[in-house]
Amino acid sequence: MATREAGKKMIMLKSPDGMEFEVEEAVAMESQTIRKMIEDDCADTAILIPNINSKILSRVIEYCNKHVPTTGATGAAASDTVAPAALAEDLKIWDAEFIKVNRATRFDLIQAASYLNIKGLLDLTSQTTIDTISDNSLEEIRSFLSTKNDYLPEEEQTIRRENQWAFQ
Amino acid sequence: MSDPVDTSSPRKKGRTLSRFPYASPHSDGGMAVERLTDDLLVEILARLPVKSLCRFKCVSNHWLALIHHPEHRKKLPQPLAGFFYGSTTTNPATRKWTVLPDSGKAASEVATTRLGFDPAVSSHFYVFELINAHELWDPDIVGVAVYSSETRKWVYKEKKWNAEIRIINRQSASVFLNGYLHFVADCGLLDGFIQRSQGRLHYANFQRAEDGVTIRLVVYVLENYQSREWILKHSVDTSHIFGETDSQFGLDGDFEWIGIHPECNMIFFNFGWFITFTCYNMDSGQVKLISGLVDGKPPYMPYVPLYAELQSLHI
Repeated sequence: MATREAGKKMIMLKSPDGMEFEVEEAVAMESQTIRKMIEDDCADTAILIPNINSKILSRVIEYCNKHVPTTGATGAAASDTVAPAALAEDLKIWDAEFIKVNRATRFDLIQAASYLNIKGLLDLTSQTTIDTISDNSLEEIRSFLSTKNDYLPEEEQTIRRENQWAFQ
Repeated sequence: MSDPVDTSSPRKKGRTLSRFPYASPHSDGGMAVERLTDDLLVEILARLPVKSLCRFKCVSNHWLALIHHPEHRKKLPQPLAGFFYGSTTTNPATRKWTVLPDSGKAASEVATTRLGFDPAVSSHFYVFELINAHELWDPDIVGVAVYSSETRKWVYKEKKWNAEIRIINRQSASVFLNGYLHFVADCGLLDGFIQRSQGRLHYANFQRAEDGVTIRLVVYVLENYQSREWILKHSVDTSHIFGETDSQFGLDGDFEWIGIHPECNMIFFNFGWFITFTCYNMDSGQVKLISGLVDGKPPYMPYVPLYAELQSLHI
């Protein structure tokens, strides 16, 4: 292993629109999908991430950078001086800011998080989506998640009657 | 803006990054998906409380199918009941059942048997046999035999709790939650009623108000196991529920707890001369008479069907 001081091991991530992102290996390994590739030695110097465009990929990297355990990224001092609770609180605030994006970007992030298998990001994006829609009307939910009402009128009546308690 | 996304591809964690089934790339390399795939929808729906999930079934036929799909049920929240008869455990929804091995305790020693099952936590279940000191029913429990469907073994544990704590009634409701089997015990408290509702332990009882005359129905909820503090959630004058004349019912014994709704602020009980099955809505204050219960006999339990195929029932 190369020493921390001499420089961390870097990995190159490439988006399909031709952008390259040089990131620390530890940051890239926040993604279980990439971690597996690195561990299986499938990764050479660069990994092409298909279908995650540079805009989304840069945001995903931003997230991983923030969430990678602190010893590497911001120097060993950080974890010694900051209490874990304060750190968690800080992350929560950061996450809340991070996820203030439009619907399309949110969906892209959900897909990217799922594909790259980044649990924290998937939790954050999915939970935010749930928080956005769970109290909305059926019509608003359909519209937000772009799904059509394919019930026949009598079917819809029956299903609504069966689940009436959930509307109270 | 973009092509409709194929929603049929199951999510597979491939070894390479060559396959990405969710969206077709755009000329600018953008994604901008209009719709999430079914797998991602399920991922999101899994975070909903049960009540919202039931509402979401009404969104579309497609979603109903998604929510009911056996594969997805494992991920989605569902409180439910299984039943325990004699030495078999059954899931009525799938009509699957399993016979348990003998616990080694004579039937006469077993005070009561309870099922511990929380599919939100594990597909495995526990069976608890509370063991009597004597042949006859006796509130002094000497130990508990616990069967785990995971190990398929019974383990006997001697009672470690305070001798003062005695289980009131072998028919009283029990609640399996957070890995604990909860009972109402006789240690000075009045005869109350516990249930699981909205993922939390609830306790309902009657209390005489400060005026010494009025009796109130009170409902407490245990929000925090560490602090062990019961929070008063609801309190209502019983005359509001039973009418002025019947408000002394509690003393006459014409009252039976049935349940607290697993997901709503509703209490079910039987009361009165004609054993009327009644529902009280804590939010609206409404009282609804549902029907007469002819053959009812406690303990009653809330039942929410679980359609998942449980490995624990395949022995």
